[in-house]
Amino acid sequence: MRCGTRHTAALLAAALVAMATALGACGGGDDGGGGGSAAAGKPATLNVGVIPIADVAPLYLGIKKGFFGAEKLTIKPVLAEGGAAIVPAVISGGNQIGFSNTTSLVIAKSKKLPIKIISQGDIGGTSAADAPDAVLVKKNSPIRSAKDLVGKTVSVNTLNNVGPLGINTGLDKQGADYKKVKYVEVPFPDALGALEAGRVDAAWVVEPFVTAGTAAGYRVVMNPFEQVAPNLTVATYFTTEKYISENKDVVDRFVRAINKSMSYAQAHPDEVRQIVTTYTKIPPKVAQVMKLPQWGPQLNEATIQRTIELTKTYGFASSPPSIGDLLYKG
Amino acid sequence: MATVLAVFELLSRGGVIHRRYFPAISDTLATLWHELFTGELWNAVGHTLEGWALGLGIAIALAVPLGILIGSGRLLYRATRAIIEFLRPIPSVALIPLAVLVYGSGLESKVFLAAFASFWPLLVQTVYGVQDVDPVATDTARSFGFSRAQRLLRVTLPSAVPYIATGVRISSSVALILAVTAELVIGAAGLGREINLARSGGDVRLMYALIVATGLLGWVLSALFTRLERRVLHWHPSQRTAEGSA
Repeated sequence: MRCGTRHTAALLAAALVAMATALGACGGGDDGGGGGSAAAGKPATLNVGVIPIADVAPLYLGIKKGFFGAEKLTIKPVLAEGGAAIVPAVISGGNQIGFSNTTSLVIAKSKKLPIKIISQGDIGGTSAADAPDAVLVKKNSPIRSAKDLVGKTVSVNTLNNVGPLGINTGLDKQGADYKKVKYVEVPFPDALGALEAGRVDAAWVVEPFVTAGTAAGYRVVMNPFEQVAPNLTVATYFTTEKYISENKDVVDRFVRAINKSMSYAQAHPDEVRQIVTTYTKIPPKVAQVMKLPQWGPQLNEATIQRTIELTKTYGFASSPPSIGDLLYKG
Repeated sequence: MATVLAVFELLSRGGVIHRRYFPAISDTLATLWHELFTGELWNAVGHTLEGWALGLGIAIALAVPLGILIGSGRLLYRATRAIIEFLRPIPSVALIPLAVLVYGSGLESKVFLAAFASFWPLLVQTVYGVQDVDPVATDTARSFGFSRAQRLLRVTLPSAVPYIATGVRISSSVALILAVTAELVIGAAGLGREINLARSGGDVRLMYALIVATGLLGWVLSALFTRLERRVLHWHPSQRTAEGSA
């Protein structure tokens, strides 16, 4: 009987293995072109993990304009549900490069994940006037300015990340106690609904939800990115230390091409607004009027340094990395 | 059905749920109608069905033979029962991290999850079906000198087929649920990913239109299987009473 159990357990296990291998054969997803190391100047295919938001428009524009083609790079954007899924995909090598907000990468690096920032991703507003992010409240809310958020419930997409980082900074500047803000996690697409239903007192959102929210009559009380610093490097492209050491040439070519794409996107907002509707489902009407982030070929290191310091100040990372450790500079 | 639709319509139009975040069902259906004439929707449906078909196919190919094997022997059944009862309740969704790690974020992960989830109900149905064979029929066949293979083909299988058919129908909807879940969570191409894109783009109407489309797809598949079952098993007693009622 004992023996029989073991025998049949093995049989079941074999069936599961068969299921797994049958899958390996049915394939179709990946052509395997991504992982291989490429010698200098050799064509290479890169899977780049991105999220479906306007911020990654330069990547799509760069593909369309042939900036990556000129570097013999084939870019395959891999849409992830959220930034949280991108880091593991890059670490595991499924994606060679990923797009992630700077704060997440600082925290990841402080947890000893072997990543390096390789290029600018996107930049916040120069001031509150052109900010692509906002903390919104209902029209009749008693919250008038940032310091009124004390004691209130504020939704952010991720706790201990760039949203609270910026809001805390803003409160600190006004001498208000940021520790008395009650943050709750609500994904951006659901935040305005939560605000309308009164489940939160204020909601931090990014475009296209800032435009949707102000169109619905909500008031802006602060702009967290711009509180951290004007022209904040909100997000960056990154890869692993291993990938850099094995494919330095490919990484350098990617950086050249994405930087060219950044400048192009910054100079051609109309093309950005058009291409955004091809890889997101942002309604064209909204895409025409929403605030765009800024893009540029340089990493704004001063703002990355500030982000590193603030993650420590607010306890999101107890021993954050040095900026030299975080950046790859070719 | 009409009542449910009317309730949803009133919830939204009456302002119980804000129309901006939960469109009236009439708006949703209008959006869906519009989507029916775009290639995007059908492309997504194709991707979802691809994952569903491969997942269900693999589950059938493995669960039916294994179920017959396990169901035919008392000892084998007792020996495997514990491990089946252990593995079966594992929600496939919990295996997503494993699937992503092993198969990445494409079709293979989706197929693995769909196959794993739809394997169990079919296996259990098949085992029960085989065990439910009338022992008199088996003994009769044996006394007539039928070989093991003949008994399987002429007595066991025909008797178990209705169970298996029900199992396939259940597994089909399980496979569809898992395919869409994988698209939603992992981002594999298909209806689930389109729903997510509509969500993160703030296009609430499109999101609900796609959700309704997913429901309709499940309904169509289930209806197809019920029909197929009736047609193939019209000779079986289990189908005779059902004939008139539905």
